[in-house]
Amino acid sequence: MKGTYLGEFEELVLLTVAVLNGEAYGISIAKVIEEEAERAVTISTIHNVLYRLEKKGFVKSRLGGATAERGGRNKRLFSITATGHAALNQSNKLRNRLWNLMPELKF
Amino acid sequence: MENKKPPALADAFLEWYCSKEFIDEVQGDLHEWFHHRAKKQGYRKARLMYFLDVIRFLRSYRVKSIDELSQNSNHIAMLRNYLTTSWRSLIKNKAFSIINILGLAVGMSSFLLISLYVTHERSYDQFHENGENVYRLKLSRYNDGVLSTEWAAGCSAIGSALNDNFPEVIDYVRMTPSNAVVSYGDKVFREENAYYASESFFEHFTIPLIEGVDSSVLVKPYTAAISETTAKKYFGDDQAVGKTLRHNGTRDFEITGVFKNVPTNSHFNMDMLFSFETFVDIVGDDVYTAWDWDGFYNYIVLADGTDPKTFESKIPDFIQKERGEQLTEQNHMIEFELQPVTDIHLTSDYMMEFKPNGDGEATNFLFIISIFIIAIAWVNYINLATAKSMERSREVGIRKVMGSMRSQLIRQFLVESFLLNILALTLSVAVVFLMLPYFNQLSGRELAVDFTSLEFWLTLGVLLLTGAMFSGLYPAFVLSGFKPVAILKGKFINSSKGNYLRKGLVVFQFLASLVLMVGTLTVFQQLRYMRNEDLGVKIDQTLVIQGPNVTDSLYDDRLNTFKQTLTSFAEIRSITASTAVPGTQPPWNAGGIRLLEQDQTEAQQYRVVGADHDFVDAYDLDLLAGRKFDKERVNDQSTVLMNESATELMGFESIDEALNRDIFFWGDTFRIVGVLKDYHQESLKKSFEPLIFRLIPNASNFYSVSISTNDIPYLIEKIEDEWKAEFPGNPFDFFFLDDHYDQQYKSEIQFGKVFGLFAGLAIFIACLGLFGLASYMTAQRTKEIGVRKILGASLASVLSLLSKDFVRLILVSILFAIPVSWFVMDDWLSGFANQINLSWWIFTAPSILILVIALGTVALQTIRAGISNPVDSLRHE
Repeated sequence: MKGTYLGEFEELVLLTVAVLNGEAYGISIAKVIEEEAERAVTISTIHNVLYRLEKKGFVKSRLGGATAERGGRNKRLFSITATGHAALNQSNKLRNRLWNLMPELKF
Repeated sequence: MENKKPPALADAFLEWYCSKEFIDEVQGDLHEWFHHRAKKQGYRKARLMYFLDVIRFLRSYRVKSIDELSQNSNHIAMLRNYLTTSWRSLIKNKAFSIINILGLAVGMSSFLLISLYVTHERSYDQFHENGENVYRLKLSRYNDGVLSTEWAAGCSAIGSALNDNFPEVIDYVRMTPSNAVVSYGDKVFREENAYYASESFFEHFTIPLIEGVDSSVLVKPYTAAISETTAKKYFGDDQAVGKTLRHNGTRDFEITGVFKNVPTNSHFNMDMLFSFETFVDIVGDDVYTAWDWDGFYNYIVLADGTDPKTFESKIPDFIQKERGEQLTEQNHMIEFELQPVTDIHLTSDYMMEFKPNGDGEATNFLFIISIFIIAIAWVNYINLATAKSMERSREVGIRKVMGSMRSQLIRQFLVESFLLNILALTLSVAVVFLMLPYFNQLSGRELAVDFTSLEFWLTLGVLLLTGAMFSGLYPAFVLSGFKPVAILKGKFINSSKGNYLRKGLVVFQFLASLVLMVGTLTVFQQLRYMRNEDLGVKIDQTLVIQGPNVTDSLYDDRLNTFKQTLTSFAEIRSITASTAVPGTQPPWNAGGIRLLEQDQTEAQQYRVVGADHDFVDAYDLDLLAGRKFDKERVNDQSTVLMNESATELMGFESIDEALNRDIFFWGDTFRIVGVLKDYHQESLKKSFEPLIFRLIPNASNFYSVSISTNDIPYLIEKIEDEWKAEFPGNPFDFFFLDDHYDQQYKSEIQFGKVFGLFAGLAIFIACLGLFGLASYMTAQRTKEIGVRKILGASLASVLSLLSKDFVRLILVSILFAIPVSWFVMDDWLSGFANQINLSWWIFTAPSILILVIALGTVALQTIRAGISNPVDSLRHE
């Protein structure tokens, strides 16, 4: 089903949202991904992915947590929903299943 | 000190576009990210990246909606207001709006039509993928230092010689026409567009093969490639490749390829190509290296980045090295010029062009006319808008008092002109669409509006923008500049500057119209002159049959029988066989001809007509001295006739001097037995050419039949029956000589018609403007007229009062138009060898006409004012 399909980057962002546990917003997510996955990210991409995930119902958001560094602007804080959690779970299970099916390969 | 803040400009841009809904998180995150990045990479880099990020965030869902925009800014709301008021003012002044829109629409339609035409003319041969590197070699031949012939199809050797000796020439293509009657089974057709072409033709010209392979289609002798349509003509839906076509009843060609029809916007047009090797097989391989044998199209392909001019300048030295000795011996000179293949259509008009090319000058001329017409239409708008300014001044005054800024007023008037232009443009696109078939008929082209092309929309856009700005800017500035206090007090003085401008513009409009009218008249006079002038040769009531290509050893007898049978018909005056007919340049050009005793350095080139004994009588040619060909004399095949120009070229002082002298012609000796008066072998555009007439009783190119009957179809049927009996296997193709001759004027006739059409339109637009102006001026003076009438003025005096100003303007434009049009048309006429004189009435007739039309237009308005009851105009204050 197209609506619930998780892209690779989407999954990464969704996982990060879950990890940050309520403290997830554009910058915190970007920092985590930069450090953990060691890949360059652009803020606008992360925003776009977040909106997409919100549309799919995997995350929900609220405004809050303005700081001086942000010029007094609010953050949009994201947290994972039950559906989002289920989607992560499902994709994880699928991976494990496939992983187990893999024959022993020597490299 | 380093700037530790995100760039303000980028921030402002973000705030401008970003919707309220998103601005918090986006800007906040961006700022935070900016500081994060600055720590890692420094502020300079961070600031730069900030710009990029702001642009990256520009997504449609984040952009403010129209509603959100108009809440924050006045502009959108004002634009709405401008549109509303503009629309109201258009509706309020219906007559003015209609005149404006109509004038603009006519002008825009003309402009669009002409630019379609011009674009088409400039699109020729653009479809060749490597077109910028392909050049045709034009050959000029000089005898005794004087230019004698210029060839589109020059000598055979040049293409391959350049290819062999210059590394920058990658390849060459050689072509020569093949006059052919082609048959497949019982299907027989005359192929006018058949050529021998060397094997790399399809490699360098982008004419895709549907069947066959580029590099091998035309390699072997007796192979041919044919066009899609031709394949259909002979084989229907069957496969063409592998089939055999018979050429002139003798040679069989195997079809190895089928190519897509050559686009119409190409300087050549071919239905059938035979391999050049076949031609070599027929005439011998001397042709590879023939320098004195013309009639071969040579195309060379230059390596990428070769400068054609530099390369061209190397050719003379090469020719000198290669051919210098022979050329000096003959006192001859040859010169080659590189014609970019894409330029041929508009610049080339030499011997043996594939088809009549376009006229670059006329095309440019037309383009200028189109700009004139659109300018006239814009001028109308400027004129009417400024003339109306008094009416609008109150509106402007009130607006200013209410606090309008000048810039806002300017914007308002610009919006008005945009609105008007958009309406006119829409109308004109519809007009163009409807008129295109008629215009195609007129121009002889197949133009189409391509609604999908970017270029088309770009043209529209530019037209709209320039139009609206050009015509709207001046009125906008004038109207917005009024002083409110003065206006509202009722003191409104029409500025004299505006008056001058208006008058100047009217003068310009009528000047342009007049020049166009004089132009039209001149073109048609010249045409009439050329078509009515005595040609010195009889071309009416003459049917020309294209001679047979498929012949056998009995041809002479068959021809005689055919001629005898035909002359026995009461409806037929005479029949004559010849190698050329009036209306086209004789295809036989012979160089090296001189008097027997002359040195070969004095030899010249002549056009040669081969004809039978009856030619002179059949064509009613005037014999000035000597005699015609004589059937009784057996040796007459070694005699020639000449025209006056030929005797002059040969250096005779008088005609009689030429009689009984011997000339040297390609190794044989011929005696001049008669001199013919110069006649117009070709159109009057050209001067007389030196012609030599050889007696060739069995000439097989054309049979000219002079007829006198009312029942032409019946006679043609009778002739066709005879034809089929004598020349089986040959299609019966004929044309009427006067039509054929008239074909030479086709482009002039088209030019004249197009010119006339646009001249008419220009006058129409100019008069629309005048009409509007007059009606306005009259309305302004209603009270004055009322007072004058009460004091006893007559209708006539009122009329003269109102028309005086306009008449003066038109007289001024006439004064300017006469020298301008004289200059332009004199230049145009200089392209004709036989031209009319620009007599005085060519200028006066249009001047009077335009005066009458203009006066009529003005009178339409003024008479109404003149006969109105003064009480009505004075009653209401």
